[in-house]
Amino acid sequence: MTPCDTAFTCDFTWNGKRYTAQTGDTLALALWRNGIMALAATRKRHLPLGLSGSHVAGILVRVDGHPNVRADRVLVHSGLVAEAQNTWPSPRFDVLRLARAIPAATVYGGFEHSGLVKSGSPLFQPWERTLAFLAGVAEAPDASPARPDPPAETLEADVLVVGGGPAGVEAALDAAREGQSVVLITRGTAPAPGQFEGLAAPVTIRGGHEVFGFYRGGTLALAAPDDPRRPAILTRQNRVVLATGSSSIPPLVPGNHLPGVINARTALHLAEAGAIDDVAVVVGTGLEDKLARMLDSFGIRVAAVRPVASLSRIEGQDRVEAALFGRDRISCGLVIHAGPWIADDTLWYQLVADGELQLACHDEQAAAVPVQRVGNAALPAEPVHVPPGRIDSAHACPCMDVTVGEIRHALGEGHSDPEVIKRLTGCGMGPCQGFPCWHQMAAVIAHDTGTVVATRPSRRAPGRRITVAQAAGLLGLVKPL
Amino acid sequence: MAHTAPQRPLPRSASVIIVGGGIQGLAAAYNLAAEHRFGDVLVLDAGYWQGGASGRNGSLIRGAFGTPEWTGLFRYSAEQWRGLSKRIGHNVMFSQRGYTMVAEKASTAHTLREARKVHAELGIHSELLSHDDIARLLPAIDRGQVSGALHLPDSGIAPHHAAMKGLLAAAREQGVDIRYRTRVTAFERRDNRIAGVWVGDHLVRASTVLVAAGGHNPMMADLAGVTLPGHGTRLEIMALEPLRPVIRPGLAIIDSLCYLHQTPRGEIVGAAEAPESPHFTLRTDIPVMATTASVYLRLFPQLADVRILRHWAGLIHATPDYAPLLGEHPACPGLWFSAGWSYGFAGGPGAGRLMAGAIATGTIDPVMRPFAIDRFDRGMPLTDPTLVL
Repeated sequence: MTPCDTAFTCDFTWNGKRYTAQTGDTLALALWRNGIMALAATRKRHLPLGLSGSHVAGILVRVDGHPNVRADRVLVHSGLVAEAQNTWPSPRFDVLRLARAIPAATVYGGFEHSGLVKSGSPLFQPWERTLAFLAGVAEAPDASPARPDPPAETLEADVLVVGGGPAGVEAALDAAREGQSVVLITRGTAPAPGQFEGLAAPVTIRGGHEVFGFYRGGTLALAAPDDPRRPAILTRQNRVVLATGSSSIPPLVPGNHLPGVINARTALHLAEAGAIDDVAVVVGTGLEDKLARMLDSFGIRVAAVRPVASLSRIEGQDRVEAALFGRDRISCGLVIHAGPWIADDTLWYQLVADGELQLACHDEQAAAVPVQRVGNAALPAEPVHVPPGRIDSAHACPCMDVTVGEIRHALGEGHSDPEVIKRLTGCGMGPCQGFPCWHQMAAVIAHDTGTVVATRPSRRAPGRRITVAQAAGLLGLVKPL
Repeated sequence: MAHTAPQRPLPRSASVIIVGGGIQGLAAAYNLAAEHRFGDVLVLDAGYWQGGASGRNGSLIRGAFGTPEWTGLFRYSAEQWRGLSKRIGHNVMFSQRGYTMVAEKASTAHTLREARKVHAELGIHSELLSHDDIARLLPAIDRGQVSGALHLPDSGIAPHHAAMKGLLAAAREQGVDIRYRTRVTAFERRDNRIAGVWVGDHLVRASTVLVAAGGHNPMMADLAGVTLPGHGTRLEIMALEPLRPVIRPGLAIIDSLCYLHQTPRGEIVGAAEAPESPHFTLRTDIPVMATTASVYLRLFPQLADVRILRHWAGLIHATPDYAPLLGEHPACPGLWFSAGWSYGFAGGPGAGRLMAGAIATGTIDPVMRPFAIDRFDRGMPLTDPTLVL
């Protein structure tokens, strides 16, 4: 991409209108600066979604003819053309918004589980075509890319560190000081290379890459899903350090999908960029006071700081307008959450088990390489609070538009197995493949049935972390067993 | 399981016990209860609902193959699919959007023309597609890669979660007792006949047991003390992130051993097989993902930068000819199998009805007969040139 062409700003287009971005802005940040928070819509009822730091569906947009581009990863360049997906006939005149009038309970399980039009009836084929159009959300890419597809590469090191935060950097430094070569993978910007100079062994850094799978022989596979020109990579190492951190999970209250509900990390990022001028309410599980002080230092007005368990509802039409704590209604434009903190254990889970059946035929591959979790990734998950009262409209999985009410409907029909509820509702089958929504689902099941939910559905790689062309590039590196 | 609702105690006896609550087991159970008025049908499954191949397959429903035997069974089953929602009173979402077999090599295009002749003799509706037909039906395919295509307009797809939900509800409404997370640990035999099954230390008596345990069938046969041809192995498949429709029919790209379709959720689901030796695991591996991606890249270059959403494995029981094993085991009266499936989702509603009829009446339908368990001993395998798995 060519960066902004003047020193400070450049123009881009969103939904057919021109806006100005600052140099170095991601698309999500540039839109936020321009007061545009609703970037996407849920797939069943077309509710507004935006940048949250928690779920991917809210930031998937069409950029320069490419569907499903993460607005928080793509940098604005001069003349960039972006638009919202899941609209018809156009983002400016979107008839699909009428779906908001559909009562939620009529689309539990998705339209495809409804008896509305049965297969075999004359209307079924056109009905199914309509469903597929709606569920597809994004038009296919305009054309095939005119570029060679990159063959995959290999990387070898004594130690492979996943995560470029403080814990990952520390683990990389420790290993390199001991004379062990290190590869450090981070999905964000790479840490400054200066701090890794003069060590006993080299540290190789790969930024903008996401590790998507643990395969046989302890091979880790990674790719850069937001930059299709870069090849996939397979790694070989003697030891793996997972420093993948933890995330704050959205509160399980009605309105939690609304644009303006953001996690602590996203809030600090926006604050640092000077993009916040709304009043904020901060909730959390202990770190909320500290976060509020940090936000205050950026000049952000914080109207209330409360434990997340006291939050009962978030109100708003197209974005956050108020936070409710019982009868206490506080007007605000943002609800910022700092907890409950949960580590995304997808990689760990894939290593030790992939569903209960997998445990039964668990083979020697898993133990091929020692794996260690460090930093926040090693901390136990904090419990997700399930508030009393009517929270049926709270989203457990905004990407697949699955609400607490939908999970309760499945529980009411006698299903309490997480694997079964996943299949009945689609919860966790969207772009993030189960994190954090299965924690929310498990919390509702545990709360309502009074039991401990010991399992979550099996984790399925690669969770949109690799493109078709990148995966094809792996062909020369792997031999079938 | 701690989170599973407490279940009623198991019964002491059943008219028929079905081991396996996948599509074969549920379809047979539904038909035993609904069509043949069997009471006390009991279905036992060690895993969770849709945990086996019935919830992990490619959802394709193909009503014709290259040989009369395969075509006979799968045409019958496709007929069942077309009327299934109406018959069982639940929406199985069968979409009659057609199924296209695509040849890349000229020799395979010839095979498709031969298959068309077989279909004509059997009165099956199938069409060899012209270049223009392909452009209309499959606008996304690179037509330079295609040397021929045979289209089955009566075939299609059904989302497995919808089909399985419908069958589960319909079977329960007919009074079938269905228990998941309930593992059969031993078979009870008396005077060589089957006499029931054990679940831990609990015996359920039955004079008829149907084993329909998917990839676990060879293990179940061992447990029952009989042998079955074939072995359990994994197949892998993957889904791309959702897109609005670009591929309408179900597809088999025969020369690349690739099958795919676009689901009503917009995901493109399919796989191309990598030549690997059998592995009995639900782990996925890189070769199938890479092979599938390279076939997509060649045939659907527009998909190059679309991301892969998820990749999973399922277990099948592969027989020497990849054809199912249907019927009573010759070495153990009363012990029936619906095993050896590799197109089991497509074949489920048909085979379930035929199996129920065979158990209830003792007469094997001519469509089912060629798939007898002892066909290899009799030197009559059912090899078909149009298989893709």
